[in-house]
Amino acid sequence: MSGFFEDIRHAWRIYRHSPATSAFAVIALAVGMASIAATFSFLDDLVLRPHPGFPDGDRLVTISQTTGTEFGRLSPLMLDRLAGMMSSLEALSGVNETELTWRNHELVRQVHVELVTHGFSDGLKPSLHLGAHFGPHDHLPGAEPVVILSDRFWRERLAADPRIIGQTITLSGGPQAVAIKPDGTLEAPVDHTLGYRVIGVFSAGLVGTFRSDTDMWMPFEEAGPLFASTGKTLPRSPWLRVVGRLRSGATIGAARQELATRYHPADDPTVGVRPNGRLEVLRGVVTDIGKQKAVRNQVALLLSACALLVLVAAGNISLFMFSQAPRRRRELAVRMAVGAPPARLMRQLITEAGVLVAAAALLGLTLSTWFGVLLRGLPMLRDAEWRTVSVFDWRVLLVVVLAALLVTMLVSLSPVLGIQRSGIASTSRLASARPGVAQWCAESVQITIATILAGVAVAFIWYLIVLDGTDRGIHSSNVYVVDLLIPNPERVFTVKKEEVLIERQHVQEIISALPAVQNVSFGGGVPGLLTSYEARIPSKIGDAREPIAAIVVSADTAYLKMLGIGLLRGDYAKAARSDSVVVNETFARRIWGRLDVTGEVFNLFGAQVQIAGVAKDAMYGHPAEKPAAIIFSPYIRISYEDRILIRSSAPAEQLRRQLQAKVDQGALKLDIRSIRRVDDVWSDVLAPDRARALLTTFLAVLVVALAAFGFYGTQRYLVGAGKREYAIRRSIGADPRSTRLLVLRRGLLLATPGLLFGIPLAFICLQWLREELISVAVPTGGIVVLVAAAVAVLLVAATLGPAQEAATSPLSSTLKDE
Amino acid sequence: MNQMPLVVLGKVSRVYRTATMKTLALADIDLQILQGEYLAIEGQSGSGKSTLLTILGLLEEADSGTYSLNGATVSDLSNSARARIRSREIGFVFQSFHLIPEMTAAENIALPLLYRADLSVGERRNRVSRVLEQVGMTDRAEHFPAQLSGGQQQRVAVARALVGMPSLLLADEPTGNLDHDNGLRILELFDELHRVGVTLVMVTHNPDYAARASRRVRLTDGRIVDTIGAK
Repeated sequence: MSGFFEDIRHAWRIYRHSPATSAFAVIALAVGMASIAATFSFLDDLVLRPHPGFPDGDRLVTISQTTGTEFGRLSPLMLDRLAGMMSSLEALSGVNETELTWRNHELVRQVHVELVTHGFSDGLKPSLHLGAHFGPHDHLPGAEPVVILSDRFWRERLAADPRIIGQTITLSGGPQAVAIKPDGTLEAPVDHTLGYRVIGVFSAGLVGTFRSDTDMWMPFEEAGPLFASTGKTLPRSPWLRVVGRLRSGATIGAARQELATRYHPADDPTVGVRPNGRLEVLRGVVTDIGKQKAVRNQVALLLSACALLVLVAAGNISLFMFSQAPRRRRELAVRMAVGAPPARLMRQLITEAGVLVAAAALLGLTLSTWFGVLLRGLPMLRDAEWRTVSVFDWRVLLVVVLAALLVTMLVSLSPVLGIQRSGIASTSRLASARPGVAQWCAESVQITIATILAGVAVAFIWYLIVLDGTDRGIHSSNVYVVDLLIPNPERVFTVKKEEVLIERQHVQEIISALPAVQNVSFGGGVPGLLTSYEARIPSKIGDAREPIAAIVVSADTAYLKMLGIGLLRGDYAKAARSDSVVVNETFARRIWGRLDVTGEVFNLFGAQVQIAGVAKDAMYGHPAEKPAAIIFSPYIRISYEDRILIRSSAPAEQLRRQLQAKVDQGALKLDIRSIRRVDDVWSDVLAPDRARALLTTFLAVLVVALAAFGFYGTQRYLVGAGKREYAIRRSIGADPRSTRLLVLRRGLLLATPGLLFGIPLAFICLQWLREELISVAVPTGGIVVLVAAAVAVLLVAATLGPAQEAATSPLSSTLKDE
Repeated sequence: MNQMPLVVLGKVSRVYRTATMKTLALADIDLQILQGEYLAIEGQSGSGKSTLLTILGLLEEADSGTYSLNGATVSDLSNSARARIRSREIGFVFQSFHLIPEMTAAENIALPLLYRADLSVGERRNRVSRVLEQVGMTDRAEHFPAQLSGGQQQRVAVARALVGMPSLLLADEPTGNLDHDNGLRILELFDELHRVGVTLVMVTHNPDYAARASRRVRLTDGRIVDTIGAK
């Protein structure tokens, strides 16, 4: 390590000598490193970090049934079958979640509860802070009701009282248990309150299995009594999310192979695997597998883009360092003349690059915490299941160190290759006007990357345009949705339908009388701002397969017309009774396989309802998704919390003032949270796509600009190095035009390998995107050709300045200099 | 004076080639330089004197012929081995000084020692102090090249060439970028080095300066055409 500190000191002096360019280099690399650190911290949280609260959390897996595009839970019977056959797993447990009401003296609060099967406590063995785990007896029918609390709940709600062990807390069924009584009121859960003895408190690390805000755990089998009033034995459905732990030494591949070998759904039709379904083992504990996969792909894509950005920045800085000739070349030549062997000079150059990259990495790590917050706020990442995203995890830091080492190598590559040209004897002669190997490589890599990223960005923008132009089946111009703060949510349990209808009529009369207001309606909301229930409707009576999930939307009789949702059959206006509903065409086709279902009866939340009409499919979800099965019901429990839809030609602010005036006068008893155009709310649905397109475009513009800038720098360097050649050509008769053309031709030649590599790679990338992130057709080939042509034009433009310089530099001084 | 040959060149030739033409820089040069000798190489521009010096300094390879230094053949060594010899056996003084502007005078002088693992930090410091004193630049040790005059810069360059205690000191037009007074001071320094036994080879086209050497060889078109003085 002789001379290492001298090398560092020399590097510092060199960079201090040109502070602006050094700062640019450090900042460019720091931005790249920060984006890598921040993005990787998300991937780390999603995929790599062991699930907290469980010993050997890195061996936890989720087992799900899937049709390839949709993922579903497993039945308890299926769980039993798996527990008996999977030798690659040492533990397996099913988890269901619900919300219950915790009553503590005067305090009534909803709590998040995980219902766990046997295998959770005795198999997965989450860490305990106090008390004991569930024993096998706790899972037997008729067992004493017991719970284990989360550390957070114990500290925040029970003041960390250690005497809680052995005491009883009171829980009652959550909203899912509430049924509509014939008179339209809701059945309150007060009659189904049970005492649960607290037997333990989990350690602080365990924030939940499939969620991160679980308050308590109870045996799955105990939940039945809480939901007795609904006629169900368990909340919502008995379908379970399944988590297991691999045996020590077993791989996830082994578990997948074992599952594929031993378990054939077709041979076991009674346990509830979907048609064409299969079971899949996924690493980690994942709640919404579809969303999580999409986010993982999104993060991986972002990470790739950031890595490409760093590569381009490193390439540019490498070329910049190389082109700091002739001063550096002379210095290196002197060092060689006084006895520095090539290897030692390489070490010096690598150390210099290392100093630059280390500074960038430190700055990048500082920036990355801010980047992380910024990224987490992006719509496409906002809703993912994050745990504790942090750049200060050893995996992230390791990646930063590895990236820094790689970038150091890249940054020092050109100067190191340039050592061969730095002989003292050659410093008196001009360097060649032809690019060297390092310049060919660096330019090719940059242009390839720029072409790929530009292609991806254009594809996302194209996709966004297609999505924006999709017919949603909703025509809502001049319709506003008024979102309200509900002052007394508990009233939902006791309010009568008549009271709600009277209140609605009153509100409707007041608002309808406002200037410019044409129509008023009430409903659960609009696409992008919707409160709805998910109902599971059996696909046919007695079918053991997982039922069809349908969205239940509260919608008064004017709602469909207000949003321009057309009716294919029946008449919704006649559906004034609470037992009449309108279903959409997807629902009708999935349950009955036809549209003519008016008058059909089915069970919704324990009550029989009749279909009054069939509506056209309207997009309540993302335009790229298949339409959901929807039930529009004029009155359900949450109708109490309905939003107001207003058709008005007045601007939003004017409408707000009008409404607020009525509130201030006491005519309306509303607490208005927001008033927004329905079209604006809908645009939020596309916010993730828009954010992704913008982010990718931003990165692509940055990379393309860097590549163009680097190309311009290289051309300037080459023209400078070859100015004598160009001067001689001109002195013997080459006109400025032919000189310019010569430089442009040489520039295009330098760009050709990058474009040739970039076109097929961009095509492959876009094909992958079509598989994973872009679900509508985009003209991949056309986009790639378009982008390659645009990049070529940009590079030609970047060569124009140097070409002009070659064509017009003063001949006499140039030739005299030599 | 020790009469053992330090440098022996045998039939050394060097040709520069381009796509369309060949230029003969050196043709069959036979030359011996004795230890402690002060040799001046003279010639017109393009005569091959600088090429000869860069070959002697192992900065460039001959196309043919042999070169032995201190009795060892060095004409077919690897780049690393040549670099090792440059750092131990050869000191080079350039016409345009070639000091590294970001380094102080002392650091520039210490540069050759940086590439020698056999010297301790203390020994390096001692040597730097010694040569600084030798060239009369002790009070300028911490100055950067830009803060020094041309003559001072060249003295630093000479000190850098001496610090490795080389067997052979090569100087390529060492006074070419200096005014008359400063040029004379450098030549006086060389005279002093010659008196203490340093082997010196200086390229110059100034006959007065060449006259200070113990032997003079004249090159024309890459050939030695005249030798003045005893070998």
